[in-house]
This record gives sequence, C-alpha cells and structure tokens, in this order.
Amino acid sequence: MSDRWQKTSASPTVPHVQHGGPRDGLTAADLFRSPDETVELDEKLRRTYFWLVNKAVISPFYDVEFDAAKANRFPLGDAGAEITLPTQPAYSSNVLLPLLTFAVGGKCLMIGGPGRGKTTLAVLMGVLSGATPEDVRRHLQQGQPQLTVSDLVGLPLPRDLVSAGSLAEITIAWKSWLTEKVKIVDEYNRIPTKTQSALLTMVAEGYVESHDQLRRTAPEEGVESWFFTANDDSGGGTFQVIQALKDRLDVTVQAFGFNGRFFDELVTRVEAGERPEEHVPSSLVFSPDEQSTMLAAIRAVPLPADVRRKLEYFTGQFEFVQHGGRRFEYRTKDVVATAGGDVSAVIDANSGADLVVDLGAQTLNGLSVRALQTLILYAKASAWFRGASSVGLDDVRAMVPFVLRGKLLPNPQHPRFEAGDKELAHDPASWLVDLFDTAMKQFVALGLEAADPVGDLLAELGGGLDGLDRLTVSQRLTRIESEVGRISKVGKIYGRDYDDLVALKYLHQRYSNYLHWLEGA
Amino acid sequence: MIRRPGHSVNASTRLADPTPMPVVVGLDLELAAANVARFGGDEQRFDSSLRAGLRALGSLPSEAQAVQDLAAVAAWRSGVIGLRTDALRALSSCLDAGLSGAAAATLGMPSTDIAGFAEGQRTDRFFWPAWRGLGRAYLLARIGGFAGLGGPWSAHPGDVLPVGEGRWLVEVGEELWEVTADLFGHSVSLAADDPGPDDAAGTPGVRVVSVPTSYLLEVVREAA
Repeated sequence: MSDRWQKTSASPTVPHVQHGGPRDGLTAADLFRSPDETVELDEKLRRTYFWLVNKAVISPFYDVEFDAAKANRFPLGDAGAEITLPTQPAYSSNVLLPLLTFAVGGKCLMIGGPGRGKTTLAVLMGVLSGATPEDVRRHLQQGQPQLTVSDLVGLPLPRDLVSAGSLAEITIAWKSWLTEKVKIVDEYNRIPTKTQSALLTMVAEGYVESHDQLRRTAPEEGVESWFFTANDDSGGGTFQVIQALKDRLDVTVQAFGFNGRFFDELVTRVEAGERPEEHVPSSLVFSPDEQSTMLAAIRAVPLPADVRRKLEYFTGQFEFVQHGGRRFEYRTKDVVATAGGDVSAVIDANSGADLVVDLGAQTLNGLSVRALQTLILYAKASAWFRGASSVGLDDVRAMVPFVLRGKLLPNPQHPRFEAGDKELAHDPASWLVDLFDTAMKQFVALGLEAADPVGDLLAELGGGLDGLDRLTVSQRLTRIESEVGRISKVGKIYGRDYDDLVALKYLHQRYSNYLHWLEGA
Repeated sequence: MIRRPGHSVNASTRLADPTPMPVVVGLDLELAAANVARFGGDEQRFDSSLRAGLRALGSLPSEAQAVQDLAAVAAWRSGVIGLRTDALRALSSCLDAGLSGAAAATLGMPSTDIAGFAEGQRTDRFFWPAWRGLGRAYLLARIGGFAGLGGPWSAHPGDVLPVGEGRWLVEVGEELWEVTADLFGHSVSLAADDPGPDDAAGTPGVRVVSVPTSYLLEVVREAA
C-alpha cells in the first residue's frame, strides 16, 4: 500500500526550454549514471514540491503564476471574478512558500481555519530535514494559554535549585526541540505574551535564556527554519501576537480548503489509515550538507540591475507622506506613527497630490530593511526553484504578497478600498500584487526604463572620488542641483521623488565635502 | 509533407537490429540508452550503433573501459552533442587501442575512413568522409521547428548570428535562442543573458539559414 507514496516526479520538472539536451560538458561516465544520482538540488526541491502538492496535501490551488501577461483569462460571475489559465507552470502558494522557507532557512506563518493542512505541512518540512515523523511531532510546540517559558525552553534541575550557590551552578534541562533544524509552533496566537517574548528572543536572536544561562538555538549543522500556524491574522486568537514577533516572520501564507473533486484520495487515506509524513520518499530528504549548499546556491542567484531598479521604484513609494513633518527628511509615515499621529488623516490632508496616482497613499507605513532583505532572498529562491539563472521581475512579483503581507499595512481610508474594489480590503495578497503591478505600469509610463539620472549619478560616485579634480566635482554638483531643480519645478511630490531627493542630497554632500577637502589641500 | 529536424548524415542509415544487446559486466547499457534519450539523442540509433561496434569487436574486451568508449562514440553518433568533446577523446582511445574497426562500425563508415574522420573532426565539426570533395553546397541539418509540431518555437526564426564554432544566436519573436550543432546532433535553448565571448571565426564554410516558408533553420555547407 505504501508504494503509492514513493512515486516522485520524473526529471526534468521544468518545461523544456532546451531541445536536444545539454550542449556540452557530458562525459562517457554520465551515460552510466542513474538520473537520481545526478539530480541537481533545485530539481530535487521541485520534485519535493510536486510530491507535496500531488501526494501529501492535495492542493490543486495554483495561485502563484509567472506569466500574467500571456495567460488566458475567463470572466466568471457578475462580481468581476476571473480565472486565469497560465501557459507557464504555476504553483500552489500554501506549499511553495513553506518549501522555499525550508530552503532559505526562513520563518513562515501559515494561516487559515482548522483542518486545512497547516500543521501537516509544517511536520512534512521537519521530515524533509531528516527528522523522523515521531521526533517532529514530539518537538512540535503546541500553543495554548497556559504555555510557560519553562514549558517552551526547559526547566532548571530541582536538585540544583536547592544546592546551587549561584545561578551559574544551576543546570538547565533544555528542551531538545530548541536545536532542531525545523522548528514548529502550532497556534502561536494562543501563547501568553510573556512566553511570546521568550519565543521572540529565539526567533530574532537565535538563543534562549533561563536562570542567567544561554543556549543557542541554531542547529549544529544544516539550516534552521521556523513554521508557525494560526487561525487568525488580524489580532484575534487567545492572545494578541506581539508586533516584534510578527515582524520577524518572513512570509505569511493562507492555507486553502479541501477541493471536493479530490475526495477519492481522502477516502483512500481513511481506509488505509495513512499519514503523509510517514511516507516521505527517502530520495526527497535533504541532508544537512544539501541544505547548506542549497541556501548558498539561492543566495548566489544574481539580481539583475533592471529588476533591482524596478524593485527600488516599488519600495520607494511608501515611506514618504507630504505632511508628516516640517523638514523634508522628516516627512515620513514613521515620524507620524511614532509621534502617535493618525497616518491616515495625514495622508488625507495632502491635497497637492493625486491620491489615486500616489501609491504611497494606499499604505499606513513604509517597508523595513528586514522586509526588503526577505523579499530579495525569497525572490532569489523563487528564481532558483524555477531553474532560472537570475531573478526575474516575475519572481519578485510572485513573492510580494507573501513577504509584504502584514508588513505593508493598507490605509483603509484610501479610495482604492471603496466602490468596486472593496474585496481588496480583506484580500491583502491580491491588493499587494495590484500595488506592485500598478507601480510597474507607472515605471514604464514615466519613461524610467530608458532614463535614470539619479541612478547614473550614484553609479558615477560608485566609481570613487580618488583622482577627481575640482572642475569634474563642480560639474557633478551642478548636475545634482539641476536634477533637484527639475523635481522641484514639478510642483507635486511623491514617494518615488522622496528617495531620489534624499539620494541627491547624499550625493551633493559627498561631492561638496570632497570639494572642501580639495580646496583645503 | 511536414519537414522534421534532423541531420543529413542519418539520411541513408538503417536502424533495424533485433539482436539483444550483449551483457557487459559493470556497465548498464540499458541505462546508457535511456540516458541517451535524456540527453537529446536517438535511443534506437544508439542501440544500433553500439551493437554494430560490439559486433565488429568479435569478442568483448576484458576491460569495460573500451566498451564505455564505444558507448560514448555511439551516443555522440546518435545525436548527443553534449558528449562531442569526450566522444572525440574516446574515439582517439579506440584508435590507439587498435579498435578502429569497431569505432568505424559504431559510426557507420568503412574502417579505412576512420582515421581521416577523427583527424577531420578536429578542425571541422561537420566533416564526414563521404562528402569530401562534393564541391557543391549541401544541407547538413534542419534544426528547430514549430512548437505545435514538437519544436521549440512559436514564432518564425529571424536573424541568425554566428557566435562561435558551431554556435549561433537566433532571434525568435522577442526571444533570443542559442543553437549549437555538429555533424550528428544539435541543442537549442534560450540564450543566456551573456552568451559568452564572440568568436568572429564562427564555423568556416557553414551557414545557418532561416527559410521563409518554415520554422526550421537549415544548416548548410557552402559550395567550395
């Protein structure tokens, strides 16, 4: 009976963009090598994905698409719904994102109602890391209102509590889950606030503390990843999740329900009494070395300059708010929020810019550096997973809704969430993709693909100051002032201008300081 | 008639050979045949070529290395272009080991031609002894094709630019594809962002032509 679980996808799992096989590099020995021996790690991860999605959790929801422009679209119903039939492989986010999290050593929050396979998927990730199903289940931390810090990290030995002369003499019986490669915290929004703080230290700093003693939580080998589950993402649950812990979660993914057309598999499992985590094919288990190699390979995927520029443009939209402060540098949402102001009201007070055009007006905050780093890493992981040699804009677009969910907060007062688009208010993933797509359309409409004067000036500075004479520096200062003047003359100002202006001021400072030094010398 | 991709060198060869593959200790020849298909070659042609080579040997050599070399040559002969460099090495080893008859049988040529073939291939990847001195232009291969008929392209191939020995870049719609070819096989793939250094020399005497009435590219030897 268990044989049916052992079948994995045949290689290659990516579409044939190669006709006729590799163009070089093969040797006679390759002829006598089994395909399983030569499977690359990205191919292994894809085979794992297909096993998970087809065998383990039965998730026929292909919501991560990579060719939005070419897909066939069919309108459905009378409420603006449509289904797209992509021509490129699409993926199920509630399997892909946990798997990429496993690959990059990230932290994934799976949300959704009970019985949607969240915990099963998390347990499967543990088995993929080489642990036995029994160990993974034993190490799974079940969130509940009585969970104490000691329940989570371990207890001091009672003998030492009586006899120790100092805290240093107390031996802590640390919980063994602390150093597991895959750590699972089920229903984390049911954990008391104090215990959440201990969890935060582990997630953020990689250690736990008890009775003045520390224990590092990183595994001795391999890559550490975290999986949290919750049935609410809007502050509900037994305890509100502390914001700092929420911020540490790299991606948030919605678990889907069961599709009734796949009932036969469900019946088979009931009859056989089988659990998928007990039947993970050994060929899909990643050794610690493979996990480390996989992470290094993902980090090495290049992010081309044109994709980076578009990402810069998108992420630069959100920090600025016109009436956030008096000094130009202080006109940010963060200044308003940290002063206890109402960001939404401040955005609304800006009568100088078109709220529909101003993408920044749709959010209550900007993006943290941590969120941006996560977006870059997951976009690299997406490209690597798909077998691409570099990150494409499609990879960034695909990861935006999962990385930025809960990090880029919607402004509910914005007209985008009114009238015909009310559903975007409770569908953050769709809203974030819409935001990204709109930004990319603006980027093209503004002609920024062809010209990037601020980027050119930054690249010039990147060449170094050594050897520049006074005349050259003066010319560059003039060009910087001219660019500032050009933006100033437009009359309206948007988030994209804020980043450019701050960068121009930075350039001006670097060159003028250098000029002072030259003149002094 | 629908034209298919293929190489002229295969035009007159016969593949039928119902005899079972001999068993060679230490080498899984069935796995090798499956890998030939995986690497873009013709499994049936590999089977036929290798059996011809082994038959020419008479008795199997004591060392598996000789059979492995013949298998590399047979795989190259069946269209696995990725093996080209190693197959030329293997061919040279066969000649050095006195297995020229077996190597010639594997490639499907008279044993008197094999040394000249090995020498000719060093400087001309499309060299085939039977075509020596033809004088006129002739077709070497058809490559590519319409996606609906199993080819790689859904647009007509446009401009072709040589970028090295046996390598060409082809504009297909908005995409740039790279074609690599030799006498026996070819590989077609989306071009990398940086397709590598240009080799101005290209492939002397060989042109790749986009034909207005077909999605296939024609690799042509120009008239001498």
